[in-house]
Amino acid sequence: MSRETIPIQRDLQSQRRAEADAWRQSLTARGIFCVNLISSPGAGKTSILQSIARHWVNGPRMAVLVGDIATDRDAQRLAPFVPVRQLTTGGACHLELPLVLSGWEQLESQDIEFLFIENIGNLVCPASHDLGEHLRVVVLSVTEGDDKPGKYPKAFRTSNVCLINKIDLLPYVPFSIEEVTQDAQRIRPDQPVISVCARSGQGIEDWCDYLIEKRRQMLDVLPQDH
Amino acid sequence: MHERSLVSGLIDQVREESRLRGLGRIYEIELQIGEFSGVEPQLVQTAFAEMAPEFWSDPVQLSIEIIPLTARCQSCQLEFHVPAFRFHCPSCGHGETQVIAGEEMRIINLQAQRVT
Repeated sequence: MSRETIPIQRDLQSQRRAEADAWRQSLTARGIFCVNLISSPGAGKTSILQSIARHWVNGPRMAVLVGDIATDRDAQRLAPFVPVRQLTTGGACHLELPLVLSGWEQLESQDIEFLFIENIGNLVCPASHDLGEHLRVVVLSVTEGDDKPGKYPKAFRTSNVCLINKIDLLPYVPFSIEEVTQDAQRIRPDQPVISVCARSGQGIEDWCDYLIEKRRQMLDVLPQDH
Repeated sequence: MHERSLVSGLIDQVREESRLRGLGRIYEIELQIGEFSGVEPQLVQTAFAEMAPEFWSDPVQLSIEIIPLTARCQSCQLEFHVPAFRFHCPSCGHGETQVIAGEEMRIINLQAQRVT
């Protein structure tokens, strides 16, 4: 028995990718548009979701899976508005699909058009994990600085849209929407940059319209029954 | 920091391949990791050094080849190494470019003893 070279050619991500694609397809078939929100801690993901929920009080219907390392504080903030389940990772710095699916089992009976997944606050690892979403959104608040896209290229390259939050604070911080847009678009040239203030609701209507349009585009490519 | 879960998946897959192919001792695992895969090779090595002894009593070497981040311009079709994550085409300046390499995590070869 001797030492041999045995060719393998095995992709370590292919199984997870296939699982994410399968779930995405099953959501699409049910008309549910899934949005994965990633950002650093405190950028305002939960506030944005509260703002959307307030704006959509008469529809479209939405539900939220919210990830944190510990506590159910975010789920408590969202529970008065929408069906929500807290996903607690116990230390892991990002959500992975099996945990998302276990949360989804408890929401699956809901009749919804939008499912939001609020990822763990972290601009690094969540960028490497496909959760079966149709749209990945990177949220950046103006207090974090406009140099972040270049410093976290994977988060910005893999996100379909960049949402700038807390624009009510623009007069008080050195942050240029123009600079951040240029920096983001050097990494992903087609990336739209949309500005909101979740607390006041500024820009939320346009943001919600954008999401509705994206869901409509998803439905347009569905095979028609008749 | 998700290198530990990656290494756990890697070990599972090597053990499965080893079972399917009737391999004995594993000497070396040859891995390719893309520059833009989101994992840090040094941390993969550290996690592997910690976790491998739970599964293999003999030392197993992990070799990692880094695959450069490469994109293709959708306009002029130039294939280029992406410098400093600036994805514009360096030749025609076009913005729409597709990543064609540099995101992979792949087992290429095993150096092992064949038993059967």
